[in-house]
Amino acid sequence: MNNRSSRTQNDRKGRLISLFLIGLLFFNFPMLGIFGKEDKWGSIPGLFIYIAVVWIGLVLAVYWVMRDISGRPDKTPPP
Amino acid sequence: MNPLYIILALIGYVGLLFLIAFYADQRATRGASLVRNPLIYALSLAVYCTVWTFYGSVGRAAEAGVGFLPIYLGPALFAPLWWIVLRKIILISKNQRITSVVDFLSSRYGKSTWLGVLGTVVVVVGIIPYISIQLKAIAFSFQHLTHSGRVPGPVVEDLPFFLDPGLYVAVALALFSILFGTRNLDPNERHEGLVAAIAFESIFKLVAFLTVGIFVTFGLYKGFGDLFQQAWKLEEIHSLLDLKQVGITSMDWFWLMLLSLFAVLLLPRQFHLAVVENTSTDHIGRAAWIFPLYLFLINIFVLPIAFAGKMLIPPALAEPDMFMVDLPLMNGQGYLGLLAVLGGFSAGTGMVIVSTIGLSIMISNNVVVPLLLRTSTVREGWVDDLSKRLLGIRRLSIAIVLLVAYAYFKWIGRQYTLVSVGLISFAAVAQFAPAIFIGLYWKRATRIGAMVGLSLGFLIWFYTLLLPTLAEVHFMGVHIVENGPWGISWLRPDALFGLKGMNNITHAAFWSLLLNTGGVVLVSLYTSQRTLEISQADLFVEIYKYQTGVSDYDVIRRRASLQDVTLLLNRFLGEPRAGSLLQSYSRRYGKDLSKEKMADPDLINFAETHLAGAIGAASAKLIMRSIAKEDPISLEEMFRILEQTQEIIRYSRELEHKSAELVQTTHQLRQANERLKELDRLKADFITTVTHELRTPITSIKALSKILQENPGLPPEQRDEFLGILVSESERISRLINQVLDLEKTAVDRAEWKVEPVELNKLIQHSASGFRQYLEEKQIQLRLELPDAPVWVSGSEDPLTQVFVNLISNALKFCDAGKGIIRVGLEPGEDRVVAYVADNGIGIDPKDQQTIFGQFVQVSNNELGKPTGSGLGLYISKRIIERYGGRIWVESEPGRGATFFVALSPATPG
Repeated sequence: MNNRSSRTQNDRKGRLISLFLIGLLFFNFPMLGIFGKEDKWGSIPGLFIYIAVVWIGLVLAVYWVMRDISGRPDKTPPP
Repeated sequence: MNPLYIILALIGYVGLLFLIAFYADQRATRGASLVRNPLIYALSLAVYCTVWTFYGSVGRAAEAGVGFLPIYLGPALFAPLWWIVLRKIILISKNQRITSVVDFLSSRYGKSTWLGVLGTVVVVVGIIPYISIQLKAIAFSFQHLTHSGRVPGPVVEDLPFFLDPGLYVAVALALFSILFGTRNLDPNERHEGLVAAIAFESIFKLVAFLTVGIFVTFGLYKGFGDLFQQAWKLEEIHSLLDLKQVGITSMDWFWLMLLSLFAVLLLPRQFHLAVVENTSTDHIGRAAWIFPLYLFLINIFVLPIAFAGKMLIPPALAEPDMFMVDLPLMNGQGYLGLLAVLGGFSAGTGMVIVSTIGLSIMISNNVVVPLLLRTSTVREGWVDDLSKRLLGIRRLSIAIVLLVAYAYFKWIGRQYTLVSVGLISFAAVAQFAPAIFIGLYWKRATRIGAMVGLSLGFLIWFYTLLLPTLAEVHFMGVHIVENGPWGISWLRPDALFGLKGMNNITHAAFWSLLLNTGGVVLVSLYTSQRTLEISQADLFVEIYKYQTGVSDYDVIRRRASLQDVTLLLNRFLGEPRAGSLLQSYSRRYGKDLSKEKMADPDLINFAETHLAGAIGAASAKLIMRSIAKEDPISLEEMFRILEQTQEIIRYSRELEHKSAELVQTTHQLRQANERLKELDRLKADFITTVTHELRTPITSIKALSKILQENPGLPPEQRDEFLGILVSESERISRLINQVLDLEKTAVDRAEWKVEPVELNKLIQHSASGFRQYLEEKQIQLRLELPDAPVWVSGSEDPLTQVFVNLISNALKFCDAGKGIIRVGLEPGEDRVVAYVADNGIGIDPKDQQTIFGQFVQVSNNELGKPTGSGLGLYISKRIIERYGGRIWVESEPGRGATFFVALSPATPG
């Protein structure tokens, strides 16, 4: 493995770990406690919107970090 | 709805599953795999969503609002880390042909048999209730469908078993699992049909859930806004959105997330699909975001459906776990209700099929085979081909697991909600987390540490979670739960050591994982590892190292006869497969096995790994031990390894040394090159200056001669003047040439310079005498201040004479005619003799005092006009004096004359 690819490997690992930690922060108290039952956007509960947005954000971020891992269907059978 | 339709639909669905599985298997044999792509991989992981998700989430949401969510947030959060953790687990598992999560554990800790048995017990006890709730939910949903939302008839559990749909479901699932999950002995050979069917079920249940969700949200209401608007009006629903009012603490939330985070990898079905059936680690790249996206989609309608159920179904009839089926039925959507039931069916069957297959592999590989191997009668009575018998054991295990799960559902599981039973199972498999995750990164974790940790965790889990459920169905007295055993209140299962204020799952998870982790770490620190443990730990922790190359040497060397190894492979894997394995081995390593009598350690390792793929690491180790003699590494071998290592170290030191030398040489060469360049430049300068100095007089000689030649009638006085100039210019040239020759003389090798005692006062007198006529002409006084006794210095006569001639003629140049006084003297001393030549001329500017000893340096001065002389005299003098180890310098104040000093070493006359 040359330097460059090992560097991007380490970068990727760092990014993934940071995503995990950010998710851990946003999906836990006290962040969750910010939205009480009275908070709503339109008539939709604030908590519902908050969790959905963070969730989708996490999915997009992981997609972005992993976008160059090909994962194409492999034609060759494993040994 | 007519039960016949339902039965037909179910049979149709199961038929479709069989078809898909069959088709995928066919494709696999043709080499055109359907399932080797990241999408199918991610979908197969969605087997995580069981009836618990399909029915239970809605049920839980109806009671606790978003309280159902931590179970999905944990895995969604963990997904980014899969690229790091899951990838490592897969690489290890492919290298070691790991067959299950328990096999992984046993293999990491020295292929321990007892750890395998203990792990299997934990999993089986922990998972059977989980399987049973799937059966229960499926049976329950049929009943709801047949009663079309009216008041339900007799509870399913009370039906005689032959009328109970749960039984038939269990039988059908057992058949499917046996057909598609036990095709190959080695699970690493992959069950493509199984994976394809599971992926299909994942799509089906998602579509079913979304369809019901869209129907409820957009059919019964006018979208999310409208539904929530109406829900706000009911205080009962309104308060569900307040986490405090539904009784969810931050502790509960966190621990549920943590448990589910572990479960998504460690549950037998998850491990089986994520690791054992994985075909390429690259697939993780996409699964890491597709899987969380799937979880998001399947959860988005949970709250709306739960709220709608609470608003639309009268509380007397409301069974929140069945809102998914009841909501369409009560609104006259029979087929949608059927779709929901089929969706739930797909969620349940997927889980049951993969779990039973996973459990059957563990039971056969980690319990049955090792126990059989330990009884000698079986070992001696080995028949030809054990592979069929091993598959038989696995098929039997599947049937038994499903039967036990069905029995649990019939007798115990009836009064628990889907979620509460599921969480108990999560807490059970989470007990593997400390030993596995610590063992993945810390080599020192020992087998005994893992045993102690896992046992402690399992005991606490059993005591705090399982025991209370048994008490409630009167297997034992309720008083133990309420008051603690023997009335000791701090031993109460729901408030162990007096810890209160958490729900039972959080409480159990906290104590069991704390003691479990503490056990693994602390006991490991105080116990040692056996050889095999050390080598396995190294392989697990440093798997990336083993990916690129083989290990440097074997820690354990084993010998066995080739015949025994072949016999063993034939018996356990069947002759055709054993034959092809041995062939591939001899091809890969270029060894002709037909000529060998003994199997080398490599072949034994190869055979053991492939046996491990079929029967588990611990069993393979036991079997190999029966035929192979283990030579614990001998003293000589150890010395050889040490010597090799030392040699390598020495060699690298030498290399370092050599390269340092090389650097030094390069440095020296560079310096020498610089000096050469400098000399070259000086020489070029020198030649330029000399030719310039020569050209000036030659030009004037040429010009004057030409005038004389062309003008014969020049007045005599002018002609004399010209001739005078011609003579002096010629003298100047000859002087310059002489000096250049002198310089050349000083440049020759030191060895050719004679060093002899020279009488200095005599030498100075002699040098001065040459100037007598000139002094008289210019009326300059020359005073000699010499001692009477002879002063001897080391040097040689001619060069030293030249030095003093130079200095005196120099002094003469700067003295005014008529007023000039030059003093030349000598001061003898013990360790040096100093001679001086002083004048009272114009003196030398301090800035010039250093430079005047250089080549062709001529001090120019406005009063003096153009300097005379070549600019070489002082340079030559300096070279000469330095040749004799002496020193020359000048002291001067401008306007008050200059004094040149020459210091030489004294000598004794010889």
